[in-house]
Amino acid sequence: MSLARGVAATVRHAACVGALGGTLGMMAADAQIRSPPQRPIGPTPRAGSWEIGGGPAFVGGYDLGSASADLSRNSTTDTNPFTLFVTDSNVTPAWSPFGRVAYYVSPKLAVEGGVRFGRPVYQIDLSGDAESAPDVVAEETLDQYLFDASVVWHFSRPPASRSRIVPFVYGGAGYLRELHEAQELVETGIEYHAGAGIKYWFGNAPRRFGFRGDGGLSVRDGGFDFDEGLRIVPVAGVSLVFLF
Amino acid sequence: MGRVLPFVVCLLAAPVSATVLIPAEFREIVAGSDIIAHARVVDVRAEWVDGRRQINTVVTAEVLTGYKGKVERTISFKVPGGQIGRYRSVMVGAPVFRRGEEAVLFLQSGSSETPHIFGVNQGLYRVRYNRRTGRRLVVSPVLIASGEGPERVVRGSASRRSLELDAFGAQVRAAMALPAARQSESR
Amino acid sequence: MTRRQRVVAAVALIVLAGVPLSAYLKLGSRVGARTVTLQWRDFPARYFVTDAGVDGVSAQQFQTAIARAFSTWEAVETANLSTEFAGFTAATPRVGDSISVLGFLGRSDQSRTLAATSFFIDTVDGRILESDIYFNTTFGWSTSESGTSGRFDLESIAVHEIGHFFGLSHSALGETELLSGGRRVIAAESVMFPIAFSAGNTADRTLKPDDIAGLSDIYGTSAFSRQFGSISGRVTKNGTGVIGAHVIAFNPRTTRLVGGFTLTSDGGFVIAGLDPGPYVLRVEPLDDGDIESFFDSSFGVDVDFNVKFHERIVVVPRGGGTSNIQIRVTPK
Repeated sequence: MSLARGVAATVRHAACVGALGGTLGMMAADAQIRSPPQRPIGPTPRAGSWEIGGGPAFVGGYDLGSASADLSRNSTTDTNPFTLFVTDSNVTPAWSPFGRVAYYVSPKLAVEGGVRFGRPVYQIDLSGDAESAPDVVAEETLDQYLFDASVVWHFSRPPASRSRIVPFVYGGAGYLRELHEAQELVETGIEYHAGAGIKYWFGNAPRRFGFRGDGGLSVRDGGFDFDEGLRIVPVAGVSLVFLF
Repeated sequence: MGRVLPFVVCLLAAPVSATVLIPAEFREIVAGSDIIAHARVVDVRAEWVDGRRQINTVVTAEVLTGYKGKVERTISFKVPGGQIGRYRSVMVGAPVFRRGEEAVLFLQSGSSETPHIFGVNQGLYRVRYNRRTGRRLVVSPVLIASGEGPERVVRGSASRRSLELDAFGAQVRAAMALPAARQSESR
Repeated sequence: MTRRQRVVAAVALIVLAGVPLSAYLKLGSRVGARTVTLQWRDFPARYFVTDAGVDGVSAQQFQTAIARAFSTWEAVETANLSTEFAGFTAATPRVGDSISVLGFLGRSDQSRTLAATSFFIDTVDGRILESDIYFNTTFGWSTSESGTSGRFDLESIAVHEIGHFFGLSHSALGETELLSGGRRVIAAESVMFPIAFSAGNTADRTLKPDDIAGLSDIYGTSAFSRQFGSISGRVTKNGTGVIGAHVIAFNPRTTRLVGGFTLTSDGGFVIAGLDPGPYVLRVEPLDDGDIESFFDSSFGVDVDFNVKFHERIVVVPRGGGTSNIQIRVTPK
């Protein structure tokens, strides 16, 4: 591994650790902020509870930059390359259904694993043709899979609020797998994510439904890209969850 | 699974250019040719020349229309390469002819008795005959500079198309009436 | 729908009464009823150099430039080939003497030809018996490192001709302009473009991706077959195959350009030697007056269509091919 790539790997790992550390730090802060024992909002999930959920997520797109199809000049005519045409590439945002399973280690701490599938479109805007070929947006659809794991810390609310809303933060990592159209080529990578959200529970029964909404950032290393650096995209999702 | 076989160019049936050329503009081809004629190939014969150190092919063609020069009923010209016995000599870039083919030929006499095609293949405009319609089409478009300054040759230009033989002949006659063009800068 | 296919770097096929062609384009020879790729089968391929120089270039300088030009092709990592300088000779580069000779010749009958490559072939098995390259003394030559104004760079022209020596034909990756009296290259992205850069220019000493793809297609290593892929498909106009269209594949990630031609009556094309990844395809007619530099224009070549891009991104797999690409062009 080259020095540059080694430094980049170290930075990535440090960022991951930082995200997890921040999550854990917030957990600890929450624990300290807790004042005298409070009456919980209904039966909080006991250790050993399970939670499943699913819904759509919005995954942001990203710009891949421009590239020109250049021919080398005959120096007698000019010194700049001759541009035959120009390309501008990007990956579109996509709605991606996901599923998730969580296990409560404690009433506040859960670990979860999930899978998400999306079909963003890779677009290339072709323009500026030297022989006036009509501009075209060429496309292909990617099959994008993310298999991830996260740690989730739930914050307790003051008893007087009687609120069923439970804020939380999360952080984790995953394996990204992207297939080009007709599955001719696969590109893989590692993904790190962190964010926050809220859960709204219907009732206080030990087994109950709820809604979950969250948003955060997804940091990718690898996958379909033109650059070797990290790629950051926003992610937001809503889901129906069931606690049991 | 099937196999993809990349295509190749056959040297014999298809003249392929493996030659670095200085292309001439159309008027220069016209001005530099001693004979210009639309002809149909009637005979193709390879022969050793230069003390059996080279193979040339002498092509004899029946003249259908003469545009320039003293043109008999048939004309003969030579092209590099040819096959004698089991051995074939090919100069990449030199055209290959078959009996029955038609072309508008731009020939230079040079120092030998048998003329040759201008610029190896630059003076060759093949004619495609459509038996169903009776039309004759000169496939290669004509390139004529409209002015003195450089003008880019844009592929796909609507103004440049394959010409019917009659229209191509008119271009030849019009070019013959013009003053000879200057030599290319690349020389 | 695409299928994984194995790209085989070898024997090609020419339909259309044996007129095949291909942008990087490979040479072939008819052996009986089939066409075999013209390629050296035994290595090193030995060559001699004529022991006569010209004004501005001594025989030794000539040989040194030739050796560098051969080395340029031999350095292609994805191709297996080698050559050997067998010595100086008094023989000139003409066929029939069973040795491959590179040297100067005065060819006033080919006064617009800088240099040319010839083959002497045994038609029984398609074997190359010899290949000779001449450099026309009608022109001024130079072997100086940075080129000489008014003289053609011998090494650049030698790299082009040696590409033919190894079995490559011409590439159409280039643009030209008309001047009064002639046509010259504006730009090119292949050493195998048929028209030379202007005198004094040394750019063609360096191979481009199109050249490398072509050479690797003929003499590819096993790693080449595993690492690279191909695109194949058809170009049609009003439902009929277009013959002689130039198809360009561009990879926006690497910015490499590789070209191909439609060679069959149904408009079929194959472009091999491509890095895995996404490509855009562009189709153009060869209506810039240079058809005979590529193929016999009488064989149904169609130049009456508009330049266009393919609307879909084409993805090349590693060690395989993407096929059934359909590109529809419209008449001018």
